[in-house]
Amino acid sequence: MDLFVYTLKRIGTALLTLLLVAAITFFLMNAIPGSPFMTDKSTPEQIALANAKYGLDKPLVVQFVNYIKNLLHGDMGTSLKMQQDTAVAKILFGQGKFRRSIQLGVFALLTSIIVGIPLGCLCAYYRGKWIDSILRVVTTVGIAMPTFVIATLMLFTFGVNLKILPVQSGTLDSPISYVMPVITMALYPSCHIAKLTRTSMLDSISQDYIRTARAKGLKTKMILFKHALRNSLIPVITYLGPLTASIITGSLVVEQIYSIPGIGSYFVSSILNRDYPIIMGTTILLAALIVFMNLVVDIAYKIVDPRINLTKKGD
Amino acid sequence: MDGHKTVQFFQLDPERVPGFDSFTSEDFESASAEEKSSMVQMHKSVSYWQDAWRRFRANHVSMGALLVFVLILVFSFIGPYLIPYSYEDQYRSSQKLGPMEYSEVEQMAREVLANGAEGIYATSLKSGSLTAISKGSWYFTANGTTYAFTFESGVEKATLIYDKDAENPVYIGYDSDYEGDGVYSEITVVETTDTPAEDAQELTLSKSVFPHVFGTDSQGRDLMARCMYGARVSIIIGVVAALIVLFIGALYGSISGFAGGRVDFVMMRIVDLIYSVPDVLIVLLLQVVLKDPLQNWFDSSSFPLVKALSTLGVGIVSIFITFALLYWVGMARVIRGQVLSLKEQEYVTAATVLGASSSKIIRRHLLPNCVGQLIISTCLQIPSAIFLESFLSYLGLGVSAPMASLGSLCSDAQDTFLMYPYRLLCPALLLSLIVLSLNLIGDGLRDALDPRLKS
Repeated sequence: MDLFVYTLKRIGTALLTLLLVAAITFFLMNAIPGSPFMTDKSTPEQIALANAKYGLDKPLVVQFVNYIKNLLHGDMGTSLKMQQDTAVAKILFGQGKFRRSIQLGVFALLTSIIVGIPLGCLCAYYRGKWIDSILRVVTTVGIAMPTFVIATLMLFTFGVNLKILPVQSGTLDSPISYVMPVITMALYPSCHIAKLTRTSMLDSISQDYIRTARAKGLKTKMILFKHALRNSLIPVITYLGPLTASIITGSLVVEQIYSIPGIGSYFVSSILNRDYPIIMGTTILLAALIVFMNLVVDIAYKIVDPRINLTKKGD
Repeated sequence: MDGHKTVQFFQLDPERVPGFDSFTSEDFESASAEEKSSMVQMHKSVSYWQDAWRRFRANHVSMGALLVFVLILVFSFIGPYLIPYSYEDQYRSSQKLGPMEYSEVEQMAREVLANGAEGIYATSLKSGSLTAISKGSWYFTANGTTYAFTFESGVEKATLIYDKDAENPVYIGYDSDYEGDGVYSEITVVETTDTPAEDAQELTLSKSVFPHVFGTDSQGRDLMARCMYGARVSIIIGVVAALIVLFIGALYGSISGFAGGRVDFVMMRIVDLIYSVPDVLIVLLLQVVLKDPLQNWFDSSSFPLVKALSTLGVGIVSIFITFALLYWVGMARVIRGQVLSLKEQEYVTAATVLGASSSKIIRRHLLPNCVGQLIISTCLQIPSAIFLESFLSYLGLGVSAPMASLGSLCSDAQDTFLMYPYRLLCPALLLSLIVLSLNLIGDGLRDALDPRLKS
């Protein structure tokens, strides 16, 4: 029952966050001086006409309320400039753009978990041995490399020089075209997860229940992977929220470098073009992903670790 | 007083004291100061910082990282004064040079130097030359003689070579075909006089041609000079952003933690809300939104602080604003947690009883006790700010030309990576080294300042 109430509350906060993000984005983009229809040639009359056509002449608050109303009916508006009068939903979801970005993101997420956690365990198991030292160096370096550098280096090493992977991933038709984008996006998160897992594994190894398990005469492997690992995964679960955000950030760069038509490219170009409905569309879509992931993490956290009383005030 | 002293006498039993007979009168002399001090068991008191420094020094990885970071600081802050190239000057004849390569003019100058010339002044090598040409007359002193000279009209760019054994001691080589391919074409004799004009500019002859260690870019700018400058911009952005985060986060967190109760609840819900806002999306939007208003503000205001900000450029200032708006929440959470436990300590109660105000307790008692946490979080904030800046510069926002940051240098080099890989590798390596060393220093500081957290 407690969990149910908590979940409801948490969904409420998530929706509030989304609304806040929508409001911030809406008022921020309208704070850019001038009109989106302003070009070198346009006259004030043309601008006024275009503003009236897209309802941009109404007060901001009215515009915002209208937008949210339409959004709740599933209408994300139509593009102002980039692909004039095309529905934003069609631009973002059409030709599998959204599906492609989501697929990349999910693969990267899974890869970083599948690679990161075992690496962290390996480090903790061989603590102080050469395996641990090497992996620690590798993960520390992996965290210090910017995504765009990794992407470019991979592109030119494996794509251009060795010619074993396609240079342009394009529409991601063949499985091999996923390899480089996914590795690029997963490198930073998997290194981070490996570090997190190592630290929290070592932390839980020093707990009393591990001593008990040792006293019972269990094998070290059994203790590590059954008793310690389960408890040390909690910080890793908490990291999944920020992880989603970092993967989305990475996807902006990765889609550009590997020329993948996804929604990431629309994010920057819509802001630079001041195409208001597309800015709102991409922001809300990506924010919804991050907020949803945070929600899942918080609820999972509550289920995994029942000691934590999340409904308690002020903490 | 002496008369009231009671003295007790003991009768020693010689049987029960081993070696009683071997005592001599010397054994009963009072101990010297030296002997006394050798018996003292107390050590010199070690302050928190000395202790932390001792622990940090024992951590070889962090000490190595500190060394690397200091070297990078020297490279980026002192380096520009040691090399003759500047980050914004375009040296026409030296475009697209590889690392350690020389342009034709520079090769010529090196040859003349190798053949025994005393010095060169190469306007194609050194900045500030174009203004000097407009003045019309230059002079320099070599071997006790002052040589003053003027250029023929139409000479825009020249390399000046002094060779005392030559028939005419000063030569000038220049590009006659300046607008064309910019190739060094001929050497002309320069008229020399012994009396320089009043507004003449003195030139310092250099004895060697400084190599382009990292090569040059397609506009003929020296890449090492640009990397030094870019690293400086990136480090300054990182440090200032971290200080902004430190200030706002520490203030907010300590107030929230100290006030407690309903105030704390509301303040922390605000933090939660900001924490779950997808930052990169808002950052990108802010960059675009702030561009024009900031530019207008910079142009219209004559306030000294605003002038100083405007030299940094709109891109950098909007990065600072972004940090001030969104990134302080992590710091606020850490400090709140610390303050929550610290405020239960007796010394806080004592200060309250003595009538200290809340702000004084926070400033004098609570924050100084969080100093370890503050330093660690700030140190780890710097690389994340540098990362964010490079990401924004990469997407074409952030730092704008002719300014350079490591991110914008990487971004510029992206398209020509196949032809000129070093143009990307140099700034990327520098960026990675800065982030890596700061991360390792931060880890070391955490172990040194907060041993409880040692992993």
